[in-house]
Amino acid sequence: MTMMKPGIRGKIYCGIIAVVLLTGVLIAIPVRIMVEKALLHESLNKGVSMALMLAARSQDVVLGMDFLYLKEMIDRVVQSSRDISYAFILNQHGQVLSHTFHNGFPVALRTVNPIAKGRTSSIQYLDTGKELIYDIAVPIQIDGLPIGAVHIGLSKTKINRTIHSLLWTIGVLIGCSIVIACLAGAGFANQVIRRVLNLHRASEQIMKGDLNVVTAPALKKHCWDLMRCSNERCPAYGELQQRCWYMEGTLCPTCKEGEYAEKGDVCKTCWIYRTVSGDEIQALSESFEAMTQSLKQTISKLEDSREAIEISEKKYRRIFEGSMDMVFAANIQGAFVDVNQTGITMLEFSDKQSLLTSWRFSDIFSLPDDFVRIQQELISVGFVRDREFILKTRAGNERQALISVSCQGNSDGAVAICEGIIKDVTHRRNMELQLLQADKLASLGQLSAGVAHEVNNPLGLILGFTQLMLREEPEGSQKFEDLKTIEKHTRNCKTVVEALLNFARKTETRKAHVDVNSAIDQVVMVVAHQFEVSGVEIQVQYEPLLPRVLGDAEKLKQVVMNLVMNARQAILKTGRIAISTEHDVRRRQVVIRVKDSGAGIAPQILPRIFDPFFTTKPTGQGTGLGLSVSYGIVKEHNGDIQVLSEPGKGSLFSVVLPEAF
Amino acid sequence: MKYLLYLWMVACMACVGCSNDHPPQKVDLSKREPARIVDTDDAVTYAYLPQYSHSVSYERHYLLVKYLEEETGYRIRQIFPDTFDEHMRMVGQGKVDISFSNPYVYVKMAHRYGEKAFAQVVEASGDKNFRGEIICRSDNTSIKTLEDCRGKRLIAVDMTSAGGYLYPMSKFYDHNIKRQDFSEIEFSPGPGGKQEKVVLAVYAGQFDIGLIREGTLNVVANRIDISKIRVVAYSRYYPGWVYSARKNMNPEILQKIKDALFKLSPDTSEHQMILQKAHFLRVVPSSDAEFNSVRKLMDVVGIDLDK
Repeated sequence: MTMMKPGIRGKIYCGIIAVVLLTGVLIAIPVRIMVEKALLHESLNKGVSMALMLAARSQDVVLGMDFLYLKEMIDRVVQSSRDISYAFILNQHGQVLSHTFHNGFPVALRTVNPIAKGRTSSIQYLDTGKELIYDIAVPIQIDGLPIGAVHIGLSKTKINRTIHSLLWTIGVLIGCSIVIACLAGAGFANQVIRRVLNLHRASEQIMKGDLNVVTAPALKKHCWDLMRCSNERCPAYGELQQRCWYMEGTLCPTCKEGEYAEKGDVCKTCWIYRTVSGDEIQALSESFEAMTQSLKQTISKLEDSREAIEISEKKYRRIFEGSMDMVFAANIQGAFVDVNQTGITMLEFSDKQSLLTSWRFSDIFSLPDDFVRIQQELISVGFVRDREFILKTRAGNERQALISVSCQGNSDGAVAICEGIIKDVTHRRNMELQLLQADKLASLGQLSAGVAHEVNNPLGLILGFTQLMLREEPEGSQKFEDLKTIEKHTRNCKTVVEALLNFARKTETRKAHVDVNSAIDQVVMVVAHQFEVSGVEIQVQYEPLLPRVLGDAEKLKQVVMNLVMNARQAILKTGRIAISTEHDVRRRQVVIRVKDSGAGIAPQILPRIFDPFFTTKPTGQGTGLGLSVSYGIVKEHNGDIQVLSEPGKGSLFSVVLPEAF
Repeated sequence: MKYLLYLWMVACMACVGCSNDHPPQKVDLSKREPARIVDTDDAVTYAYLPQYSHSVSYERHYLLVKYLEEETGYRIRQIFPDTFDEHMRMVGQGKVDISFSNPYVYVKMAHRYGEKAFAQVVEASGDKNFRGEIICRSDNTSIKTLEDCRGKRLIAVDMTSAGGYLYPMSKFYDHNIKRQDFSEIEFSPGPGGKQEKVVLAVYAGQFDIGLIREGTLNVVANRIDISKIRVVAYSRYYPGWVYSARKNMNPEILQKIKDALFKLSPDTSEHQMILQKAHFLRVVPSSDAEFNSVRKLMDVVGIDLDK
């Protein structure tokens, strides 16, 4: 059999009975002791007072030996209080002058309580066998000289009866208190239980999702009645269920704006609050109901907010994922928290998870100095903007990139998370370099054309006059040989000048449809034998359906010749030169590639190889105009020339020409 | 809660600790005896005319009685008559050997019982004679002279009082104001304290004028504000209190008592307290003839010595 747990009612009953009983007992014990002591003290005081009074009044009577009057006096004293058992008076010789005993005076009492000299009273506790008595003795004195003594017998037994009667009264009062307290407790418990059950039912209703609960009874007093207010715009006006201090936006002049949290303290000082607010449970019920209403509104707002957040999240996720730049978030430890798809691709990862788990923010920097510099700036300023660095991919490839990062702090001000964008600018940088190169070459071309034009005419005159003078001089003469030397070097100069004019596209170009494969073939036929002799193999691979290009066949052959000769010079001993053509159908372009297995070009001189007169050969072994002339010819044909080179592995020159329409 | 319990325990222990109950002393009340006073008839009796309460009389004379016992070697017992009449009656009955009384009572006792004066006391004034006072309330504006006392309510100590009736009344007679000229004459109720009661009656407004012996106001000074009492007039000086002896008293005993009384001197340190308590300076010899002036005065006032 299981015991039922006591409810609040049972607990209140038990509590009340226990408290009243305990309090009663706790009070009764010390009260009994104190009352007994006080009563005894009081009785003794009273006895002493009566004895003193009797002694004072009996002075003259004792002196006058008026025994009748003495007897009357002590009889009156004994009759005056039921606690007094006897009284008697002794003279200065200890003889009994008068007493209240019947059948003679008890001999023992005459000497049982002597008064010490100098004392004003003496109390002796006596046990007569029938009752307990305090014998109170007071001297009858005149001018300090004792002329007798008054003795009064105070019954302790009778005092004890009074004390017992008092204790019975206390006991009965405690019993009555318990009954009254239980009745009052029952009423109180019923009220409390009913209201607590209401709250319990309401909380269960809320747990089931129903926020339309009513826990407090309808209001009996309303603020607008008490304030004689008629402002219908006030939300509290006409409200029958909710207290005004729980409502937002009330218009009472004493009200503070805001919700309960802001205005609560002010409202509690308002006389309306003091007048209509109920007890703690009433307040709890009302606040519970107000809280439910507030919760309902908050949930509604939250739902609206959640939808807005979802829309916003989708929007920003779209922007994030759709960005052509790498967008990322990293925590303070430098670990990536999130990266978009562009970032995954840029860093050459297959999926986001492997990137987030294996790659850190510091890993993307090819140069550690770049990372340190950006990290310091982030710590000091909190952000970096468009800072260029060399990005390292998972595969070890490097890319030129711009990074912008900003860091957000938490409530303590410490950096919590950093978010940023990395833009791959490799292509743009290459383009810029090419544009720079083109611009430089164009400037050089203009300069060269001017110089060549100015120099070409004098050279023609020098050559013409030299040839005229040669006709007049006999062969073999010293003068003839000197003129021949002048002619030879003038021709060399003229060749250089013509090359410069070609670079500057100042030479006459006769454009026609050119079969690129055939042009290349003619060049290869010229050099193939010589190359084979020196151990350099030439491999040719043509695109059979290569469209023709519109251009000057001779100049194009000169371009191919220059590229092939450069390739040959790059091969120190033996090697291979691969020449191929290709048709880029999408761009409608014809591509000529010349690849060698030579020494390659150092990266630092790569941007300068198309500059006029730039050469790596010793002085006198080259003009440094080959590639610059080729560049000029290709640009004249609306094409482009590019180079990829890796030191030790060779170089690849690609000439792109638009196909003829 | 724990501290509350401790507090309660301490309070209980304190209450118990303060209890001063000792075990009671066993007494046997079964053994009884009748009340019995030891007979003292062999003692020389000494009575002080009860002009004051017994306790005042005792307080004033117990040292003197003790002194006389020591000086004479006789047992001397002070007795306390309740009234002047009882005093005189006891003298007449031979119950009083030595009487200390006022001259009025003495004259009567001498006339009736043959009492013989042998000494007089010299009071604080330095004179063996004294006088009476006629008093009224200080704020009684209707009494300024003796003439104003006509028709007023009067209270005196006793018909047998010298200072409290006879002497001040003689002052009225000197001004031709007779007893019947007062609207009311009352005497102080007894027994004892009669002089004081006169002052208190006037002080309370019960009577307009009172007759007392000089010095009484000082006696009540510690009970009332005596500034509220005004003395309207003083009488002439007449003989003061007198020691007298029973007619048939043993002369040898009487002589020893006389000697002892005359020996008292304020200059002797052992006697100073006795005399101070008794309210006189010394005791001087006297004789019956010195009280003739009183006898004459009683005759003038119309007092019959036989009544």
